[in-house]
Amino acid sequence: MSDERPLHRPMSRRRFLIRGAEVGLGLTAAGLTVGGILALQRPRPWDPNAFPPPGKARVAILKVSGYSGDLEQAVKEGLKAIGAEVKGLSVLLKPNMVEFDRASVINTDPRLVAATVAAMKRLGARVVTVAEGPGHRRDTQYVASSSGLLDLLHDVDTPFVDLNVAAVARRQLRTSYTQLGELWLPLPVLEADLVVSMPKMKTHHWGGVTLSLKNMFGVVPGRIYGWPKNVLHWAGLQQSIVDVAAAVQPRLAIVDGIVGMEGDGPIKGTPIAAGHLIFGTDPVAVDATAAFLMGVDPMRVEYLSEASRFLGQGDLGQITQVGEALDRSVTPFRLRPELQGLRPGTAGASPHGDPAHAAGG
Amino acid sequence: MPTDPRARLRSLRNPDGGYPPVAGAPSEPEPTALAAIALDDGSARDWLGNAQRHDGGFILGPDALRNDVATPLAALALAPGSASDRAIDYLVAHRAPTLGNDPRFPHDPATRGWGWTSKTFGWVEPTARGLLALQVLRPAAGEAITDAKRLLADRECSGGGWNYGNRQVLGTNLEPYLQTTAAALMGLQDPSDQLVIRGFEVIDRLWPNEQGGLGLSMALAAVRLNGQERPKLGVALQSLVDRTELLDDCVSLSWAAIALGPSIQKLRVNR
Repeated sequence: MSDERPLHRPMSRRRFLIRGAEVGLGLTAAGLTVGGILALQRPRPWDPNAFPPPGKARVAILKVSGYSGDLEQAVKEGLKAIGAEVKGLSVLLKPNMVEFDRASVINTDPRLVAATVAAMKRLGARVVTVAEGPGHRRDTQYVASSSGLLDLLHDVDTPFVDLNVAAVARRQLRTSYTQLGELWLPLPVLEADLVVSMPKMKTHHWGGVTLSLKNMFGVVPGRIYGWPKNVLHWAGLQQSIVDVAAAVQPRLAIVDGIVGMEGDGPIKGTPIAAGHLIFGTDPVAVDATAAFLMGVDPMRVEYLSEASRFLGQGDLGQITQVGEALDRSVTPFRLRPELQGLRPGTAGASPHGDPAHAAGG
Repeated sequence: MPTDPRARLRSLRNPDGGYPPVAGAPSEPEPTALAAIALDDGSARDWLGNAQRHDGGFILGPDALRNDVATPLAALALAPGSASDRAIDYLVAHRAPTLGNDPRFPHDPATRGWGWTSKTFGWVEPTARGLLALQVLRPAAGEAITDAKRLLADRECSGGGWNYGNRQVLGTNLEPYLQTTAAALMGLQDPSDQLVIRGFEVIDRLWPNEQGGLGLSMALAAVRLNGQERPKLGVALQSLVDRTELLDDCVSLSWAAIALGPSIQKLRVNR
């Protein structure tokens, strides 16, 4: 190891693990968990003026068995169920198009993306844009065209923006889980009235699960931060997820859980028919719900546990689920052996340690 | 009438003489350097001259984040002389730190190359660029060149070709990509090297199925720089340019112009 150290990580993995253990113990003391007491004493790496305490949240779980049905209608129903309002807004849809493999299900299905465009327009959105900065491919044209996304967007008369090359502006971070301090973010993202995170429901070999918060990595331009978003991994994957999500703050999330990816995700896993779309205006609540549906305890996912302290509601008891019943909708996703600790009721959390320098795969 | 990527690229030049990463964005070092090479554009070279820092590097990103990955391309784009020499001096002096071995992503910890940003360890595309610039402009930089070749050899995927940097993560072999494999082959430029031979086997396998502007352009450039011919690859690239103008991505258009035109000679390693 060189003496020349990379950007430091102020929030140690040990501190993350303490949080996981606290939640796992689930002890109470006069109505307040032991973890809660300790949480009050821990540093708060966020600006409290920028992030009011999370309140109650509402998440819709819709049963959708495939991509060939009326997805536009399903999206409209989901948006209505959570009371999302898009009329008059400039909307930027951010799907997960990280890579393309014809034989796999890595990406948010382009048919769902196009259907969401149509639904947004039908509901009065002023303008809708689809944008992504693929993390595993520098050749965005290859990913966007081979996946069929460009043709489908042409059919709904909607532009695609490559966030890896779009003009950028500098933004100071209001969180400090990493020591990045600031991020250069694409103007189309910063200027949109509403950023919609549209992840694929997948396992992630470093982070446990990848959902709407992790999906925000695609917003960070590769030409500045390297491929595959090299600097973010170097700064600490879990910490970067929280910092980036807090910087972008998507106000709507739609998870493509119709067919997800289990096992060695986010790239090398295998398809699993989970049969759901998940909607919410609080991305932390959406991710907590989606993780639960995958058979994962959301509070054992390190970045999700941290994000639930300030960025959104991660406590399933504070989230009103509408549509399908939460408990009856679980489809346990197969996890790598090292990630079994993410299952509810098991001991310990993810044992990989911080991937810091791995950046890829 | 085929679309000339040079003409399309020239139309995207900003009033300040530089080139943006994509139409309408401010000028940046990487697209400007590549366009200067592709078009032999004096205004682009002037823009680069003004963007060069006192230390010789070209930085995109402030303060703690110093992305200097365009420096080797700028060195190749600048006219021979002081500015280009200073860029090469910077390149030699700013290699990435090494990283201790880790069974989660095995690699030879002794290898040194270049990273995307300062203080991150060496990756395939930045290292290939650095290697290319040194082999063309300063072949006497023996240690840095040898180290870069060792890094590329170490990071080769199982069966040939290159991913971004790692060849294996958590026990899973990573797949080679067309664009990163092409970058490595441009840097190596040694058709007799088994690494290069295996790399072209990967190129031949991937390009018919990876119809993207950047990948096809860099693949064709790698083919020509290694003294090979792939006529069908050239046809496929020209067809994509005709149909899509490569989405007005200046880096892709520049590589297409280089791959399809005479300016590729500026990237050729003399042996």
